[in-house]
Amino acid sequence: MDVDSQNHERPPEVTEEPPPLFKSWSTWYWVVFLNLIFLIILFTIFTRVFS
Amino acid sequence: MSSLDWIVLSSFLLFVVAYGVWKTRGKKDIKDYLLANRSTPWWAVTLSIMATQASAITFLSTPGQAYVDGMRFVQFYLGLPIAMIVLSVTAVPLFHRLKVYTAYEYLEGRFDLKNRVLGSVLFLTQRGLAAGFTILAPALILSVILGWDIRLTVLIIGGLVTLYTATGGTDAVNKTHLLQMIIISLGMGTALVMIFRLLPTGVSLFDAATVAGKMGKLNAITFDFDWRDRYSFWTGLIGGTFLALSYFGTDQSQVQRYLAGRSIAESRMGLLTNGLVKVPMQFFILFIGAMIFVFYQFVTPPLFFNPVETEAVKASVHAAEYTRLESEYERIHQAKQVQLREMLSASDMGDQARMQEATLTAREAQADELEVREQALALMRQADPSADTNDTNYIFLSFVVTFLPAGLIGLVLAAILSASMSSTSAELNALASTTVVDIYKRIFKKDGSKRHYLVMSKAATVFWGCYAIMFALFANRLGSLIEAVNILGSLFYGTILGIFLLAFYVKRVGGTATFLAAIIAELLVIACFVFTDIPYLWYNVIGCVVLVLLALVIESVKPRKGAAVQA
Repeated sequence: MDVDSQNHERPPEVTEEPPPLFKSWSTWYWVVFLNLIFLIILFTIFTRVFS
Repeated sequence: MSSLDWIVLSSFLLFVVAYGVWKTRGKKDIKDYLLANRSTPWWAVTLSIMATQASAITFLSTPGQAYVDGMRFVQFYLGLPIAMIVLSVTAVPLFHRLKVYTAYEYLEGRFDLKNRVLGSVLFLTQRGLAAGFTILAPALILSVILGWDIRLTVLIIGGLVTLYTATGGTDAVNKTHLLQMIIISLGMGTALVMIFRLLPTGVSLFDAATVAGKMGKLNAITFDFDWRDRYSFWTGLIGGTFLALSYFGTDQSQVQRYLAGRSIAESRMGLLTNGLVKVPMQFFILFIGAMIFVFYQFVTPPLFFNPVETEAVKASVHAAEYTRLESEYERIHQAKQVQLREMLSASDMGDQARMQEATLTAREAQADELEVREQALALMRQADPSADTNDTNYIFLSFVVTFLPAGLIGLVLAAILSASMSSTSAELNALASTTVVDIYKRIFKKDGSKRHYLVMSKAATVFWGCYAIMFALFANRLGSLIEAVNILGSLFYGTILGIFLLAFYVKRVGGTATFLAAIIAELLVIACFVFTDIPYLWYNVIGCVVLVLLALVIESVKPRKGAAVQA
């Protein structure tokens, strides 16, 4: 480990690796975000229907 | 417990420990030991992240939380998927590229040594205590419900975890997490199926949900904004995002899980998959609690679920009054049951007016029940002022040992102990990493051999294991455990998150300004905890925002190097 000798102030550029299933990582981020929205809507309906 | 339960439980425990030790023997250096040689696939990263977060407290306390307060606790997790996205974009590539062992290493390169040490010390303080909690919680509850000696339970859980974590390091933690998540899912799934099977004849799943909903237990989302409300949509989304960002982005017990990923892509996928499945998983566990509540609408529950406290009050001068309250509780409960059956019958026939009336009467009976319970709790406090009058943590296990058949009790207990071991192992592993990499290697011995640091990492794991066991042996009253752990985390996470946010995004702020702001912000959060009744999720926001603003102010007013020379 040579952490101390590394220059942390300028992190190296990140080269994007291809994600599984989709072409870009942004699609994956949207999937996670939309899943959250879907769950909120589902839970809201669930709350309203049974109360 | 029957002998079948003992066989299921002990064979599982022995198998996990033997598997962890055998599969990960022969670690050669610190990289192999602390980062599993960066060879973990994404699905194992996901399981490990989930197993680390899901401690025994999650499975013991969360169903009880739904039983008492409804399912609104699920909102606590709404910020988590957002945090997973943010961390996948920012922290994962940064930590991987810098090839750090701990999150705090980054702080020295970006700021200076004192910020690295501050971050490490805040983590060690908070997580060291939390490791004690994660051992103590199941030990305490198992000892009360099953009559086991708490010292024995603490020593068994703590000793076994320390053994395989010290032997195999991160690889052992990750490999045993897989087994533990399988047994946890199996145990909890079986518990839910059994609850449905135990419902009275004629009460369908839809009927059960109707009863839970009408009695206010399916309140999964509440949009009303009240900053004092501990669990609303807004506190969950805002406070929960800050908490999750801090927990997954700066807590070494989680950072170490995805640092072990094979590549940036594998680590990212681990976090994002967690963002997809964590909220539904918590919903499922809370739903189990809501269904136990429904089950107890048709079977009278104990007035208080902690048998030790119940026996204590019955052995006091208040015994007669307590027995009277139990009879009163039973009478009200029977009347409520009649109203609930009436409500379901009206629902089947589509008679809305009759259903409404029965619901109102059942709710009134529930309020009467709560009043009787409050009187009982007051009696307990009179009998023993230090009595633990919060029985949330005992509800699930009490149901399991009373109503599940032989074999399944052992399975559920194995799931609970698995959860305890999975969290504790990750905590010990992270505590050892931070102690050796950020403190020992950085400050005390910079030029040791690979072998030396490997031995020191194992020694640090054993030290923290003993520390957690000692804490668990000496502490015994905790209140609502799931809240206690989250409150403890929230006292420190805002400050740690603020330091990392400045490090990542505000390049013009230096180390001294960050350090001073962090000290002030941490003191402010502790003052909020001691002197105010602000809900704890807001501590994360307060600590983080105050730190960032203060650091900006200090940086702008502090004399600049070179300015004096020019003058």
